[in-house]
Amino acid sequence: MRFLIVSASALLLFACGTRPTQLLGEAQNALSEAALAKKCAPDEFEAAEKMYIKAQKLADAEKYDEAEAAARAAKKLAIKAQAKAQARKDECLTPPKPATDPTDFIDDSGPGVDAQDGDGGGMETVYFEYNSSDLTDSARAAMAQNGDWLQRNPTVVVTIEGHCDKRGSTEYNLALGEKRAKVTRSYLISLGVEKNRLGIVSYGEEQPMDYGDTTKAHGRNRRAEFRVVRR
Amino acid sequence: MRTIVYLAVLALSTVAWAQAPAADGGFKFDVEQGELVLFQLAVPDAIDLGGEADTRGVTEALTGTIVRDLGIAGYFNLVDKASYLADPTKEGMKPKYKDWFNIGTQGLVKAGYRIAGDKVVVDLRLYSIDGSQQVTLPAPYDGPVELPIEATKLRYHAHGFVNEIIKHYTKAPGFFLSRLVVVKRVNRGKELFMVSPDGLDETQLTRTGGINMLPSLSGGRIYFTSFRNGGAHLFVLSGGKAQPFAQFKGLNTGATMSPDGRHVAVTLSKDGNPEVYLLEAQSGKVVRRLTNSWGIDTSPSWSPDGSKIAFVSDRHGSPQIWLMGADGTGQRRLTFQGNYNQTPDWSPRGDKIVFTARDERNVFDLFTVNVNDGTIKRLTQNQGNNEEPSWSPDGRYLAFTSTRSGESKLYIMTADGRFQTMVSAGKGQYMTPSWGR
Repeated sequence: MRFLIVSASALLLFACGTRPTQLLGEAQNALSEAALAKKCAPDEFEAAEKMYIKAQKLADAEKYDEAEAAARAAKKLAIKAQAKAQARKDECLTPPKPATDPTDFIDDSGPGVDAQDGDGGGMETVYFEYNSSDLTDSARAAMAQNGDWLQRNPTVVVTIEGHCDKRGSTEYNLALGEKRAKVTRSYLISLGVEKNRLGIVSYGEEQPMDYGDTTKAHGRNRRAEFRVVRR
Repeated sequence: MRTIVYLAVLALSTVAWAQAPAADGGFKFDVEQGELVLFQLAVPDAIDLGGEADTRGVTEALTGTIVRDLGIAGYFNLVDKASYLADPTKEGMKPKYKDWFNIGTQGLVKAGYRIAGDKVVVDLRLYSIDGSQQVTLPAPYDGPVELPIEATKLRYHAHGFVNEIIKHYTKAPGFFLSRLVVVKRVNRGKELFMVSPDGLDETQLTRTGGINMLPSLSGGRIYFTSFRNGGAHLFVLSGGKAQPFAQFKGLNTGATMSPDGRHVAVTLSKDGNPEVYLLEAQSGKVVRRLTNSWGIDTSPSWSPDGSKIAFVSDRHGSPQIWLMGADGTGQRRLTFQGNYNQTPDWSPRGDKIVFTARDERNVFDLFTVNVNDGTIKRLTQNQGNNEEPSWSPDGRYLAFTSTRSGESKLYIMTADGRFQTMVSAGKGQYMTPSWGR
């Protein structure tokens, strides 16, 4: 009864694929349609733009899986940015008022799972390898941007959510998700973000971004996501 | 893969056998693992003993339950009804032994009912055909019993009767009056449910709309992990009320009670990374921390004598099954094959630990490891993903989840993996069963 060998060939297979031309196009369209966002939700727009550039670079480097994930994320960010801009349209297009007290924006409904309040602000989701909480190069690149964004938005408090794909036990995945959230938090602290602005929570395999059972779906679910709990 | 060969029954050496129409009933001989003798039973439909007609599912609740239970139990072969020589309806509650002997059955289950209003008198009997006598069973199976016409109550009575049948043939009673707690997906959340081992009589235990998981049913208490307060916290459900149990900073997951009921082993990450701790079962106070490694230590399971704990640790790089004393001393790695071994459950018999392993094809299957010599035995293969095993109270069976039919469903198998039966009756995904001990 041997069940030992996990061959490297399986990993190589996952790396193949084709350039996600369609998704890149969709992301670009979403960005060009988000003209209002450029004015009214500039941080969000910038994040979407950066993600799109990253997707292109990844595609150029033939990292198609990561490129696809990034293109998808860029599209999502662009749509979100536009939605946010629409919501802010009135105040944004009228002359600026004096700065308000940041506590006005405190969302005190708490970071409950069941609630899941707050979006990712201008922060990029960070992705992980299978059964790993090590930061890959692309994760570090995303983190550098996240660090910048947090520095530029010094009142923002976020919760870092650790997530896993659905393979493996429920309980182990909670532990693994926490490890991912912690690694992400430590890295942001090392980039100079104050630690009291960074909460963590692990959802294990409970909150997939993609309910599919494909290699790609698993890849999208192994992540640390950011939720702004206070602006 | 095992090959099972069906042979016509020659062992009973009755001449009349050759005249029996069906050759379906037969002993099974397992080629690879040696001879396996199945007990031959006939279970005709329950008969009307002269009351009102059965329009409310009495026959299904009695005979249906007995047939399903015997199927789940394994080790029984039900003689094909087409081969019956006697007409069970005309025969009444007392058999003509010869007619049943001649079709090669060892046992005969007779069920009768007399319906009056919302009550039914139920008479369940086991006859030994080779012994030509009724088997004397303990109360309430020693004579007719009056019951309300409610499927749950009728099934309960039938489950207890099957337990006695199993005890008669195998010397140890069946498990059909035990309960399991499972997790099912409800909308976007997960809720706890209690079910019978036949998958019926489901009761929803939590209704938060959020995530409730990792139940552990022991001594009438259900410890579980819930996100209702924002993170993974432990709660205990007892007497219909859920109360907070452990709400330390970080993860609080997977409580399992010690056999003496005094302590609970849990995973907490309050001091850094996930470690196994011992808490007081009533108060939730920390007694001591049991592990201290850089990696993930989680999923504790007690040895039946309460002296040791099996757990999962990835301190050597990949999740493996480890052992330690219940005080945290003598930590040693038990599994060395594979690179992804999780969810240990220590057999109530003490000798084996069942666990989930990801094999070389990235498929999850169930294995046992012998506690003393580390021998590994495979229980499932080529049947989807099989995960989250939990022993029956007597250690003769295992509950687990499998995706062999598509969605993750609840299954019960004999401890050797020979008989595996889907028992989930309801819709949806079933996860992490805990068989009450």
